[in-house]
Amino acid sequence: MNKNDDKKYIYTATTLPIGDIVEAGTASKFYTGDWRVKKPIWNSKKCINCLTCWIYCPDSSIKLTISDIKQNIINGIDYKYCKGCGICAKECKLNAIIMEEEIK
Amino acid sequence: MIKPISSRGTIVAKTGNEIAAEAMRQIEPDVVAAYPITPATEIVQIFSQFVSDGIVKTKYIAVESEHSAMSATIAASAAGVRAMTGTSSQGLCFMWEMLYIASGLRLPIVMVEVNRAIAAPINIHGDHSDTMGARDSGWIQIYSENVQEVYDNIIQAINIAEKTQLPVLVAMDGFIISHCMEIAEIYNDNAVKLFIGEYKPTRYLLDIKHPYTLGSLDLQDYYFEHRYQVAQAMSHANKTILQIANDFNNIFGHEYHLYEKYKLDDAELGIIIIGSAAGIVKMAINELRSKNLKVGLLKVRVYRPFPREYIIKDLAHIKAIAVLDRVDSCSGAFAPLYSDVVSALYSEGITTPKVINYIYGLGGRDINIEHIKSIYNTLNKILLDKEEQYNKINYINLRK
Amino acid sequence: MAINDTITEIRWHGRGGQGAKTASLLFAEIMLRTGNYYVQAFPEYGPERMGAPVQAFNRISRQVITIHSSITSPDYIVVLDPSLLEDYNIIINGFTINSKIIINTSLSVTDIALKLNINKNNVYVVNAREISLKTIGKYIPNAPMLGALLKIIGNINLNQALNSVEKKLLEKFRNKTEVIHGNLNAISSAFNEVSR
Repeated sequence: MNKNDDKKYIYTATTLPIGDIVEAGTASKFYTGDWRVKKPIWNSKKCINCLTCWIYCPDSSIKLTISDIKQNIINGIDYKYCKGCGICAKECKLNAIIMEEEIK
Repeated sequence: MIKPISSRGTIVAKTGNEIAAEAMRQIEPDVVAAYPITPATEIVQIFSQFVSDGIVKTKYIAVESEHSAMSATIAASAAGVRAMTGTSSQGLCFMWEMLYIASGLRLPIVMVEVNRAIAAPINIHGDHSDTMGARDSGWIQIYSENVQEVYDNIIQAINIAEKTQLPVLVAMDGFIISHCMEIAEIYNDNAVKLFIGEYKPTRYLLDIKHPYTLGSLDLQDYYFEHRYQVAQAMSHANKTILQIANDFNNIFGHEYHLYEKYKLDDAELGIIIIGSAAGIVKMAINELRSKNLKVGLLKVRVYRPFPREYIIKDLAHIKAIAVLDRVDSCSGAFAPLYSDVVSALYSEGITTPKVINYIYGLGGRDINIEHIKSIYNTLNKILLDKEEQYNKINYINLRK
Repeated sequence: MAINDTITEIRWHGRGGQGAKTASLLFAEIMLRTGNYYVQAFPEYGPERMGAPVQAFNRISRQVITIHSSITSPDYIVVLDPSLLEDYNIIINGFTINSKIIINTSLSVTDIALKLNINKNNVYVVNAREISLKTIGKYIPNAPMLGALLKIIGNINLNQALNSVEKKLLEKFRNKTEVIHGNLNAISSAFNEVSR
């Protein structure tokens, strides 16, 4: 439904861009966090910042920040986009991410 | 003395395939991806020689199938360059799903198609079964009667495709035209390059400053609108095609319309036909006119979009019409051209012409002047109400 | 016989590999370049098969040629290979009293006329095997038979014809001048030798 910038705008055949074109970056306007059934919980105490979860996350929902020594470190999970697929939890060797039942 | 019409022209003797390759050399598309198939092989064979000799700067992609040929052409066109291909018969069939993608994505691809029957039984000769099957795929279809028309149509097709943002298929009859050496006039390279101009796509995938997604999922929400857009573009394309034909005539002195009328304006009996057999009808008309028979021809050049609103004006006064299809729809009903003509007439409330359907020339079966004369003879009987059963499909030169 | 206002039709009979198609293409080119005729040249519509009987066709006219039917009653029949006469019904198919037949053979006109059961005034012979062996060095009968046809058609300037053939052959045999010379010699030899 979200063809372009405005999610609520419904195009007609006249206003719709021709040739099945969708502007780039529209995924950022689509909050897939709505889909989540199970929620990943990140434990900063267990995490060693190996970034394995960041590599695997299909929705770019592992938030990063720069540490004091200018390295990328994990800074939590972006629940706006996280679908709750559980790949991060599965891949984390230290159980620093666990999946919990989502309570909305 | 055979003289070129245009001051930019030279007279040559070339086959349909040779002249198609010549047109492609002058157009010099950025990408050609093709897979050889009889009788279209020579087109890409000759063109690939131009590439390897460094005569053209085209990137030639040798692919392993027609499906890949069309896929690569689509990708190149989407990336923002002029892309062409050529095929025939089973090759076109193998491109099938990609044809709809080319039109749905509104890519101005030009394809040279050599008409050939479809197996089984296997047959390499000319009929329109291949392109007629693709008539609803959203491709503009332009048919050529002779070698000259092949050349002129391919050049015009570039402008038509880029102006309408629809893919264009230029067809010629397999062997009958593709392998027939004839006199034609070709224009100098600069004149052709000037006519087609430089390709400037409005949007293209490799424009990294303005990125976009092409070919996303389109469900109940927008698919309908997108296909409607293709249909609308198609129904508006006639005007563009006429405009380009007019420009072409102004520069090169060769006249083209959506269809050609031959002694039709005062005719009582008319034949409607597509492709190379039109020339035979013209000969028959010349002969019958000398016997004071009011006979005429309407040769469809642009079959898609079907020139519905134009054609009816020129047919309304005809008393009996034979529509000749070089394809059988195997539908239990009538063949494609007949159905289009009759629905065009009927939708405008024109019900006076008696219209009869003939199927001819499947698998390259010969059609000659005697066959055409016998059709006019039948039309004459219909006119005099001596032929009752005109509302059935008739077959020419078939052993029943 | 000069070509009049109607369409003159020619049928070539050869075997795959003998160059019947090439001869028909060259003939069309010559008629365009030397006589400004409207021309058509087309092979028998089929796959190429070495050694099998093949046909090629020409149409020549002063008027634009719009017809694209097959040729059923040719004005000239050119036979590149004498062995094709074994099944001569195919060769003389569509033959009329005005047709001319030109045959590559060592036999006489009388023998051929008898064999084909046609009037000997319609028959021309030339020994294309001998000519091609002498001029080209191998048995390729298309060039001599082309020369013979040019003579029988009449009103052809041989030198102009040879020039146009040379131009065409240069496209194909840029680095083989001996091939070009051989073929040109074959054409002119047959042009002079073909007889009734």
